[in-house]
Amino acid sequence: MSPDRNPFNIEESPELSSRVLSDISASGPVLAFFTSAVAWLLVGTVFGLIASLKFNLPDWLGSFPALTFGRVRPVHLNTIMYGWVSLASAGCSIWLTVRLCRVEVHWRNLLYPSVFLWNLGLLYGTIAILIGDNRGLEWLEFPRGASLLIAIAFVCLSLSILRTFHARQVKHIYVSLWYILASIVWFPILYVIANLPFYSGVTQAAVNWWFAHNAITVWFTPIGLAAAYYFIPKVIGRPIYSYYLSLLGFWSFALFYNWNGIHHLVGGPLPTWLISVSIVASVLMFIPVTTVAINHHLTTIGHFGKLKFSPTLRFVVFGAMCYTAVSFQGSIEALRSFNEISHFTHYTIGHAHLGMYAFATMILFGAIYYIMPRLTKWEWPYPILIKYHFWLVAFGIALYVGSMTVGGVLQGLYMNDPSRPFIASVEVTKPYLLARSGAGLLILIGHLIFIYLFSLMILRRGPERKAPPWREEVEVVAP
Amino acid sequence: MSLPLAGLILILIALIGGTMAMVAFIWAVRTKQFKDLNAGAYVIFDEEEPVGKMTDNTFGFPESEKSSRKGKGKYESRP
Repeated sequence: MSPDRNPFNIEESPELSSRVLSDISASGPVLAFFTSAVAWLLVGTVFGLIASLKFNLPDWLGSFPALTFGRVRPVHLNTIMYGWVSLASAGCSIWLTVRLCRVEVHWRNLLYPSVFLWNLGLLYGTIAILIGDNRGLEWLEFPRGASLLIAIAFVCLSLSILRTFHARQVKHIYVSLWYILASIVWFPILYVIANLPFYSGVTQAAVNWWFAHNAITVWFTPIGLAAAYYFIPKVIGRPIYSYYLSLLGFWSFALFYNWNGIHHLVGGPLPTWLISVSIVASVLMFIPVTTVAINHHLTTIGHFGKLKFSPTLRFVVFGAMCYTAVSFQGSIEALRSFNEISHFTHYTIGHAHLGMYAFATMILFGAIYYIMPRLTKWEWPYPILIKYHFWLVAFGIALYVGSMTVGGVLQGLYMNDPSRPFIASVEVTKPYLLARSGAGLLILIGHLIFIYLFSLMILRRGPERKAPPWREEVEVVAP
Repeated sequence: MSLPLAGLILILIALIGGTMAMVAFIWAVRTKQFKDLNAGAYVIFDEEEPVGKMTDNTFGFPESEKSSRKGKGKYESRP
């Protein structure tokens, strides 16, 4: 082992050095991805809160075209999806891949241009939406140029991860790695297909929702689950309850989930069979979700006391529980009878945030809390602030989803009641929309705390803390 | 309406995607990925971080850990 590959002067011990060196080799690119992700998290949260406040104060900021609801809301969606969640997932998947393959990052030189192009695409897309250049398709609002930049960035990421996987030193492919490989192969293909220029009319709507749901299917969910399948057993120190079920879960997930998208168009002018197939597949999702739920719950059971010591475990277990909740909710929501009430109401917004925030974002927070000290060799300062972060965002998202669910059902019932005027369905949601803005404010404060802690970690500032786990390892071999 | 170009391309891509997944699955069976599933669950552990060791305790060490760790339960700031 050459000295430059061993900057911490760790003695050769194959098990140890492979893990520590994997972390070291990944640190540059992963930190770059995480830092950009956190920056976009701030942008996305602020725009989300502005969008929410516009429901309470309809005239607020209305005189600036760039800050009208029709532009603020897609900026919130796109910066959170392609900015925060995607970039953090990218960092997380690089780190998990090197750990699970026990090698260093390969084709590392592709990763820095990837971060750069990704940010460039996001910046271009965000400005384009703000000045009114919006393609008018949900999840595909960015102009094609911006999408192209992001697609190229993603391909760079995929190539690096695939090359790293190819060089793996571990014979067995852990379940997390299956999820990561599936997502990095599928997402670029999906994204390119969705951005092709030759759809129109109903086909465009079908492709649009096929894409939007599959972005969750093949990118956000697999990375979230990969992280949960790694961090829950790893932090607790106990293998997952049933490895067999986890693999059954993966393959049934791969088989059913990509059919789900069209359930967004229940009641729309599409062939009925197309919608029915999608509903059947949505209900079949009970199988993979149940396997995941059993595994995550039964691995954690008996170890709930450990939530007291590990921020990672708190966030990841919270996220894993919400995954079960949001998936069952989604399967039910796809049913026509339920959709009659929930479609076109705030209920859907609550569901979306239960998925993208309470599940995906919370797991990514947990992952970042675990990964960062191992990259920067610096333990998180101020544990009390981490607790504030957790409780603010956990309470915030619970309030958010709760108020949107109740408000949405009421809104749906009022809209379906011909004896009531339409305006009654708007009036009834008012208190719930106010609660949502309150929840958004709590979440924003939580994020500001997280961003403060994160910057301290990057700069290695704040009080130095003794004996975090990574330090022990280094002390053992490098006196 | 006859099948538009978009439909043809989508069907083609679905077939390619399905084939890719099937090839991956057959490859996994051939390379005995599903042979010893119990052992597979243990690949995330190693000698320094074995089963039974908690690997994250940013909020302080658990009481139940080895006695040698006691006293380190609360983090102190270095001067």
